[in-house]
Amino acid sequence: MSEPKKRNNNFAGSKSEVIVMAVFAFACFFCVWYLVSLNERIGKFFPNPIVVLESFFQAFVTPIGQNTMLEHIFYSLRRVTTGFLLGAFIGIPLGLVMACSKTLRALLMPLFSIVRPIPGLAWIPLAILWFGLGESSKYFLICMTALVGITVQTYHGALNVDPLHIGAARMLGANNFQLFTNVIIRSAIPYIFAGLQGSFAGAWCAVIAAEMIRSDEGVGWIIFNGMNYANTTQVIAGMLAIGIVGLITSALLRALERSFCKWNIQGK
Amino acid sequence: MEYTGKIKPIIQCKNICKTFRTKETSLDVLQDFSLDVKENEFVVLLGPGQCGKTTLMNIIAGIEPSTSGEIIFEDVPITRPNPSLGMVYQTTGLFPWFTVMKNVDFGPRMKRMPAKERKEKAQYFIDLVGLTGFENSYPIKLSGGMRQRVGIARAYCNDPKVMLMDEPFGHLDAQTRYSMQDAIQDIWSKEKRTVIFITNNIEEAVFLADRIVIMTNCPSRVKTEVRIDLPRPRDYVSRQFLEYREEVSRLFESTK
Repeated sequence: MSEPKKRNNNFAGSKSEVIVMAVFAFACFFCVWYLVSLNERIGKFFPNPIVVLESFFQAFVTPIGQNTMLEHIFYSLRRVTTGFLLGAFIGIPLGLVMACSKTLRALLMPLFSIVRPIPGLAWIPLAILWFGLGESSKYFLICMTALVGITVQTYHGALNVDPLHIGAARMLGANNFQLFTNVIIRSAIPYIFAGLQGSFAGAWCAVIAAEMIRSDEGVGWIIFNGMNYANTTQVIAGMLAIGIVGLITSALLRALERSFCKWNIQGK
Repeated sequence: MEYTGKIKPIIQCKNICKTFRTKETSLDVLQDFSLDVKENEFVVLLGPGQCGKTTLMNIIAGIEPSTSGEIIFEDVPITRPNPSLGMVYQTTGLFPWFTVMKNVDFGPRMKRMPAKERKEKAQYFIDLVGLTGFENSYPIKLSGGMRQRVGIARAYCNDPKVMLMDEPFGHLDAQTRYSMQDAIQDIWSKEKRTVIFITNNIEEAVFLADRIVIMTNCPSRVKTEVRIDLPRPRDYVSRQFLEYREEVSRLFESTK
């Protein structure tokens, strides 16, 4: 039929086309990067992509500092997972409680509203003063970062339950507890997952920041250590690792969401 | 007829008034609405759009309070949602996170009926509404008519004494609407219940009702009643049907 529509359809096309496009974009990106790094002045602090990739893969075999790349990733993931789960275990009940009980909402909401705009990274000084430079300050920092987003999303999810569903459940004889487990939590789940996904990205940023401040291992340490020794190759290899791990974890969370929200059109 | 003479109504609306108030305005939606419904009677409330029919239904169901007046169900005033009343909604109100089976057996599940018994019961009503084979589908996969059938099965499965149907076919296309009218007629003849059915469609009212209660425009009252004495299942184009339709039509038009 009309020309533009047809072109549009062709483009959106199949999975293989999307993959081809992605490969093409990466190829272009690496070419530009390579060409820029050829320049003598820039090249001094900007290694070409081949060197970076080489050193990235090399790091899986020969350690950077004390640990190999896989071990660094493991340390970072352990920190982010601990802090993140802590945040979820506090944030989800907190959000639900604030949505369901008017009294607790009135009590907790003002406090939460003040804590909410404080960015996670602003907790760094307190984290260090309270918990020292060890692991617990990192957990605290990551927890505080994740907590806010998870709470807000859970709260909105539980508050936005369709009144029709509440009425229907009541008419069918659900008591308060049954209403909570069969209706309120269920309809909040997509929101909770949105909160978890968004907060995980934030928590992943926070772990890098925490590791740059003080640590002996982790991907954040890799880039910070690289900077201290003016080793741009190591810095960029570390950044690459951050990007890849972030990508994989968010894909895993999406897969988890899909299996939890089969009923939801957004979960498709 | 079974119900001759003075028989006690199962549900009564006594002088229901409802006024919505905001800071500046107040809107009378229902004014002195009274209605008696006998057991196993199929009553259709026919009213123009926006005349407070859904509000009335919510008041009868005990979901919304009335400004004054009361609903008496089996001699007891209704003040909160009562599982003896089953509701079928215009937009179905199905739980999207549950499969057809878990939607239909919701009521018995809340009563902690044993799983086996509950499933059998739900299956009976799923079969009755013609959805055999869709037990494990999620509502999002179903068409509008099928969702409405699930809504009917869900209400039935909770053993209500009175079914409240709030324009259940209002969102359906004409063809689906006809087939749903046949279906509800068929289901009702197999599983008799008292039904209060709201619609703004005259043909639908004449097809389904034992008694049509015509409501006035906002604020709503009962304007008049028409008893439909036609054998079931009814024929949309029989002479008597068309006569009734014309009569109701004339009365309904004069409400506007």
